[in-house]
Amino acid sequence: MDVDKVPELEIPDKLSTRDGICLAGNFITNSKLSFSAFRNITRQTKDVPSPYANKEDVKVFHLQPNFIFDDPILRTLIGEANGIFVTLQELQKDGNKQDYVKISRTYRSIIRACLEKLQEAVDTSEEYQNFITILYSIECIWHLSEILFIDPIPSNVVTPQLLEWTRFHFPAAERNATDLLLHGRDADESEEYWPSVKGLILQGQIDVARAILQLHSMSESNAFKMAEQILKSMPSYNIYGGLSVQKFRSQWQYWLTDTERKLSTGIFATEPDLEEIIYIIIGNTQTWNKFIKQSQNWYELFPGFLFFTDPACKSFELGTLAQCWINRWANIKDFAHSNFMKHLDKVILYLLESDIHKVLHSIQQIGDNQWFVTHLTDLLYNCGQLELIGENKLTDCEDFRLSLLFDFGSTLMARDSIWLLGINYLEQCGLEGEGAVKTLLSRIPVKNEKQALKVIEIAQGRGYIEVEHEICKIFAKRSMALGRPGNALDWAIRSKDTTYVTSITDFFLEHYSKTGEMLCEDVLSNIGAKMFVSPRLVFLVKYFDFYQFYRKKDFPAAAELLINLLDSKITPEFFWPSLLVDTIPLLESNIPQIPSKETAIILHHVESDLMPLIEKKKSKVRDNPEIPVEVIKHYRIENIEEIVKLLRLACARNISRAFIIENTQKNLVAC
Amino acid sequence: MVSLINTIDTGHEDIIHGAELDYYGLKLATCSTDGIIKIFDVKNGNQSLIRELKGHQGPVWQISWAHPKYGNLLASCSYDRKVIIWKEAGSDWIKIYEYNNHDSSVNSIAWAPYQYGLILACGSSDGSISILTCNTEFNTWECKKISNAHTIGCNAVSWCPSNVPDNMFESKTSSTRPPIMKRLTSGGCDNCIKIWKEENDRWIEENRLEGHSDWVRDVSWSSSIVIPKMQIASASQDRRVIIWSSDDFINWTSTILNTFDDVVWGVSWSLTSNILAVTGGDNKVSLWKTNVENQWICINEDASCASILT
Repeated sequence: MDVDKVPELEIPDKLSTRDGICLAGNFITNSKLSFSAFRNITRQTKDVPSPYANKEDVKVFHLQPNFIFDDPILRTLIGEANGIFVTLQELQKDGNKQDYVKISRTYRSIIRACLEKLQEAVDTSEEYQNFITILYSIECIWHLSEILFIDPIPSNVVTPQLLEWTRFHFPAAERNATDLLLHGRDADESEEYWPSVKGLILQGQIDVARAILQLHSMSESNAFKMAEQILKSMPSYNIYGGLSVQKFRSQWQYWLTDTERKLSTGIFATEPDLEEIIYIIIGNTQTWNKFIKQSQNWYELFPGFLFFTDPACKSFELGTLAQCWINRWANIKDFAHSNFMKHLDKVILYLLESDIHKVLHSIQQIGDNQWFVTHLTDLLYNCGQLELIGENKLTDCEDFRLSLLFDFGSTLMARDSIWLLGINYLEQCGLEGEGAVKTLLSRIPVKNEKQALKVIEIAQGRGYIEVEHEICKIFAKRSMALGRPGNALDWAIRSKDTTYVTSITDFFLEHYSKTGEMLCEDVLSNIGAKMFVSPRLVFLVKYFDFYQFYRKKDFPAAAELLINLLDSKITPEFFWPSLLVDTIPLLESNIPQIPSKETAIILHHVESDLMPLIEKKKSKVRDNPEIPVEVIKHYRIENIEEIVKLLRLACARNISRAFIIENTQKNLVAC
Repeated sequence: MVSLINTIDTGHEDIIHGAELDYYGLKLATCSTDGIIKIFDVKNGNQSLIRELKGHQGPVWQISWAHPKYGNLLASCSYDRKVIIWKEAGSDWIKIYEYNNHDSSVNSIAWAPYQYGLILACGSSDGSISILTCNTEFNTWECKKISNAHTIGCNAVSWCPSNVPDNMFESKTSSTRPPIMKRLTSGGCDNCIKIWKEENDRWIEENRLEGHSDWVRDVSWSSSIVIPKMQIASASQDRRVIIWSSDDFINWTSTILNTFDDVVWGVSWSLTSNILAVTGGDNKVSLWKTNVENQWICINEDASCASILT
């Protein structure tokens, strides 16, 4: 991975390479960009086809950063990491060191699990090798960061931890050692015997090495016995051992002189491999140089070298020591130019130098969509290390963390299936994050109602009412366009937008008055108290109730409701003809349903609402004789003039009938 | 790092001036010197032409999708002085409104934030800006005109996002919200950027931002609804992009984002307004972002710029 080079992508557009044409770019969303050839138009530009008309294809290009987490294996990583991230935020910077170490290890364990899954599947996809490289780097850097920053040893003596780190990342020697130990006696028959023992020694695993040496067929020989004695007596620096550094150094010096003397006796002449091991532990330059030549990475042997030469070194000395070691390593490996350091090599050096700026800078360039830098920065911030190593510039560190969380959250929210995870990151970013969540939530390309409901649920849970309303409005519009008015009405009611509800309600009423068909009865019968969002809807629901009563032949209830509706003042103008026509059968029914006073009300509306409406329509017809407008013609209304006559007549008949009944009843009471 | 997810061969006979995806990124509209508007379905990397809209008698400069709560609506403006509103009706697209009240080419159109209603701003070479408002209940359109907004011509219009003024002027003690103030910015051949606001049913000039020494080709109000600072990016033939910011609509401070090697034609904010894309005559599209020290840095030219902490 060459990170200093700006990644380039060639857009195959011939047109934009022509004279006077350039490529224009515009944002589509947060991560998508649209490109197309652009020609500047000025006042002087003539209104004729451009010189390139019909010569080149005119294309539009959409670009998007690669997103590695679409892969099912990596998807689990991002999901699990999200869970840990949330747990970490819950500590609110108030956990103890053990909490943070635990979180760091959990992060590392999911990376390891993911790596193992990738390794199993490596043959199925070409990309997997690339993912393995990326995740391996992340694991290695994270582990070292944990040792140095998240779980630092109080005394700053880090060699034992560094050795553990190399063992973890160069596990070959340890793995072979296990095989050899299982092999039992005469393990030296294996070809891997000496390389394994030396590998163990180079990683400071003295005890295991001794055990394997015991398995050698010649282990009873003098040379082996001597080696065992030297290894056994090697002083080891242990902060808990009570030895001061000075005391340890003098002990070491004594042991070293003694060992050199033993070597000079030539006791190991018959066992050159054994001799080499002793040379390793006394830090013999030539021997180490030989192993440097065989090593792959500069940091492979570095902790081991420290173990034999400077085991008490402190973490703040690591930078200088590493720099010296790298120079030596490069010299021996014959790397003349300075470019031999690959990305991971450099980051490890920056870590040992405790240069967190450079570390965080470099790990932004790992092709992982900023997953690693975001989570590591956040962890360092939470355990209070970011400000320490960031030279106490707290606000800078905070801003940096927030900008990472913001970008990462926005990236996730723009992806189809994991947008939900993005919210957790954005929610850490204050008002800015909340604004982004709102903007991005309403942009999630919801394909069906199920998805819409999911988005709405999330929006509701966070109190983003405007997002909920916006989505409802969109779905109301969409349902109407798809010819599903019942659905549209449901969505519109949820959106709480009165204008919207009213316009859809009108559609229902108009449809009814034109065809006599009541749409979506199941929806209407379930509206209940939600009808109060719009007076028009109240009218529709009440009218529907009337319609039901009438159908069930419950005429008294129907009549009462109809009169209420007539007098409700919420009747839409266009619905008067229909509503008044409904009164005719009730007025004309054999058993009188409408009392005199109510009949007068009907008559009043015929004269003061229906007649003006008819007049208005007529004048419209007169004004626009060329447009064929029917005055009022619905399924029940063939001729409106006839209807008016009928209404007046029915009212008159009913009122006379009602008078007789009412007066008789009064007389009866009087008697 | 970046990949091409769609290549759409538009089939236009001549150069295109606009290529806009709808709200959800599922439909693409393009407009061209050939006078035609095309609408494509773009799903899962495939595209198919749905419709060709013919109605303009000259190059079509810009197209713009309305918010989906108003249905599938597209506005277009052209050299033929017309603005047309198209609507998807079933499987067809119909012209629902045509506006003919400009004396010269209409260069730029922009739909207002949907919360204000269905409102379109149009900037023309005749120097005026028209604000077309639709009464969605009766489908009628009403027009207000800002005459002589920019001498010689208006090149670009862009709306202030709707949520900004609400929070800012809301006093904690009063429970009633002040009326939403609609604002609009425009850039023109008088080298100026102007900010307009609607007051008592009239559009008045609230501010005039002077800083460019040549025609302003594009203005873009950042879509960010939360950053307490409002930002407008402007691109000019003087090769500069300026970021104007304010937190009270009264005092605007300018920061020169960069002076480019060639004329800059366009500025475009990302959805959450944290990145600005700049299109220049030097055939380069550069992306800009502020670092933690609030400096603008180009993020696609130099890898080392990615460093934010140092």
